[in-house]
Amino acid sequence: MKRRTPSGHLVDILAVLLLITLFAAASLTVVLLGAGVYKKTVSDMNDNFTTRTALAYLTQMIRSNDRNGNTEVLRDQNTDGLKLTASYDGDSYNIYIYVKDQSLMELTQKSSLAFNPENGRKIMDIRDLSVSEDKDDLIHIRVTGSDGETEEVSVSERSTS
Amino acid sequence: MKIRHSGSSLLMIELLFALLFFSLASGITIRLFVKASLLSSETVAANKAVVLAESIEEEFRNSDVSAGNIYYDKKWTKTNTSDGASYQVSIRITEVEDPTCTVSVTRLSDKSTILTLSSLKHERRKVS
Repeated sequence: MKRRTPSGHLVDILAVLLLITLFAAASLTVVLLGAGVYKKTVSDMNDNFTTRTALAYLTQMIRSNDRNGNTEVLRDQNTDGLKLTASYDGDSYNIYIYVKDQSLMELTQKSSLAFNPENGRKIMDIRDLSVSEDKDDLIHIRVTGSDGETEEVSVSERSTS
Repeated sequence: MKIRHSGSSLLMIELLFALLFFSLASGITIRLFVKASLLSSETVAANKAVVLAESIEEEFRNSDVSAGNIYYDKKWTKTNTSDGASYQVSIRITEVEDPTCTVSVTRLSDKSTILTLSSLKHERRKVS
């Protein structure tokens, strides 16, 4: 019977080590690939959530209160937003949607009361909101999400005054 | 005759089997990752397309929109020409009975249509 030389053992050990290294490198590559895909998906989902949710919320608020062309652009000292008018039980209310301290806020109060941004209720985190209305009564809304992603939408009022 | 294997040879055979199984499993996993990444990109494109098409439709309802093509790059920034563009937004206006605006968003790389949206122009009226 042939006896194995010490160099033969060394080759065996090196081959095993090489296989283990290959295995470790391949595992790491797969894990990194997975992490990259997961990171991208989460980032896309966050972008989608912050900007599109805010846009959908603003659009739906305009739609649900679309009576007699009562949607106005809110221009306050440091606040840009929307001012909607609604009527409940014969009383007239103003709904203000604006940005304060990087948060989208909503405030519903009687029309007779003065607007105070401090009284609003926080809806969600956003960085910036810009609202403008052109000569055709088309409302342009631009939302910058908390991650810096900007999305823009135009909304037309169905009703007229 | 008995064949004797050294301990390291057995370990190597075991490792080779592990590597074989691992390559099969990672092949399937990588395919899943690629599919997930593609789906995520398609979702982003579909969301952008919906927002864009809806905005054009809203503009059409309130004012006049001219028919034609608008081009966007892969980051959805408007470009002046089709050179280097990744997406094309086609606006078609038909006035057979009622004025209708049809907006189609196409991915230029494979000419696939992401979204087609049609809307009629309605007269704005007072709602009490």
